[in-house]
Amino acid sequence: MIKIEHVKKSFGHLDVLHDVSLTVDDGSVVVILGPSGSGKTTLLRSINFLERADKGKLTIGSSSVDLHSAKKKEVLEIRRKTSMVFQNYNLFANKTALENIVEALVTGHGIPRAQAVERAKEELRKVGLSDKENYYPSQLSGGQQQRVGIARAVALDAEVILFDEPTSALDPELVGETLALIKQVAKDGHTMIVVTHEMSFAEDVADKVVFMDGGYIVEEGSPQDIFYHPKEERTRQFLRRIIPVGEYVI
Amino acid sequence: MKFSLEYLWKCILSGIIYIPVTLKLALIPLALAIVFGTLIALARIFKVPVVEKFFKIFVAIYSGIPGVVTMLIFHLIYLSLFKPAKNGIMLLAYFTFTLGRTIVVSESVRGAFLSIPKGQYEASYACGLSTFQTLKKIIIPQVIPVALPALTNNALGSIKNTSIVLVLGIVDVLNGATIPCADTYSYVEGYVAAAIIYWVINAIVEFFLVHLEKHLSKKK
Repeated sequence: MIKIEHVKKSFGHLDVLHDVSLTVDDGSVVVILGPSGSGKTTLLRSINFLERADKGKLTIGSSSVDLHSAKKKEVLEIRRKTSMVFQNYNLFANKTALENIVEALVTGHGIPRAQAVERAKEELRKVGLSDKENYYPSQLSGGQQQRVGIARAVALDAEVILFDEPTSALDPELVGETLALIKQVAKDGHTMIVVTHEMSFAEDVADKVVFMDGGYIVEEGSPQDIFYHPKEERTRQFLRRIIPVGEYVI
Repeated sequence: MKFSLEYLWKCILSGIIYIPVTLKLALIPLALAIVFGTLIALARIFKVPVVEKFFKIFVAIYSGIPGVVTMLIFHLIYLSLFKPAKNGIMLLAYFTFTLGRTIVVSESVRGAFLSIPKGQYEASYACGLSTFQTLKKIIIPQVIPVALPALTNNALGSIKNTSIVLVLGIVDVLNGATIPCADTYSYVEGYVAAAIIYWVINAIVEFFLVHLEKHLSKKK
């Protein structure tokens, strides 16, 4: 189980997170929704210390760390228990698709090279990119890069995979296939926290939907609760704007 | 003005003997500057307290002063503080060149580091690599091809710049090529000979570095 408790974070005078707490059960998928600037990405990035929170506690399994005062070693330990898929893919530009995964496994997680190569090949096969093993990121399309990004995050065998708007930078045509892949990852039983704007994806995949606004968690519950019976007015307002009424006619 | 090719040849032969002096004056400071310059660049990028501020001010001041002027100032300080030693003037030249090159190199290296997107660091940290591993495996391999054109310029500049040791009386290619001129007071051949030697050295150095650049950028 992953527990995030009382996270506070401000950038200068701007309070981005006010006392946010969240629990993620093992093997479950939590989707965080909310308007831009609601603090959802900051919350996600606080979990693996890409942002240093001002206050808060993180528990993964049986070990806890303070999100503000964690030492270098503790930070490294947490980062090895988590993995992340980025909005802009962030593949290592100097490494091939295969080496992107191998490097993370060998240098980041201390796995012997031969074993790492085998696992990397297997993950690339799962995302349908076996034929692109030796391509550099600059030779791959956005969708392909993101599939490598997902393969890298999955290969690390982390206790939780963090997805930071994984389809926001993609071509609309490529969003579908990437979401399908993420759904597959969820089906394989990985614990996931996903920040996204894709509502139907959230409805399909999430075990829990969290709606954030202004640095607070406004409401959380099952997709059924949030999308069809929201309790808070703010949630209703947000959903009205995002989910189109009726169908498009072209 | 008379120009004698035969005399020019004599000056070239006289200058060539001193190529090792010029190369030593250029390459030793350059090698040291790459090490120190990278460290300064890293200190500034990672915003190491005090160190960062110090070098920022130091770079701002030092890069605004011509090399000859600093060399003359250091020379006077050296003369008033130390007893003349056998290699003293040579060490003084190494010191001045290293300092000057370090500043220039640190700026090129810093620029190259800044050109690497933040996402490359973040992805590496997220994959569990430490800061040192991130620099070694991910960032520096990407910085080198970016920094290389600027460093090529630096290497060429470093070689050319050594000629200012004229003011210290060190015999390098320039001084060496004009040795025969002392007999005839016709310095044109000596200076042209020096120009030819410098050009040939730089052409060779540039040839190798441009090939290295091409080789490294192919890997991307």
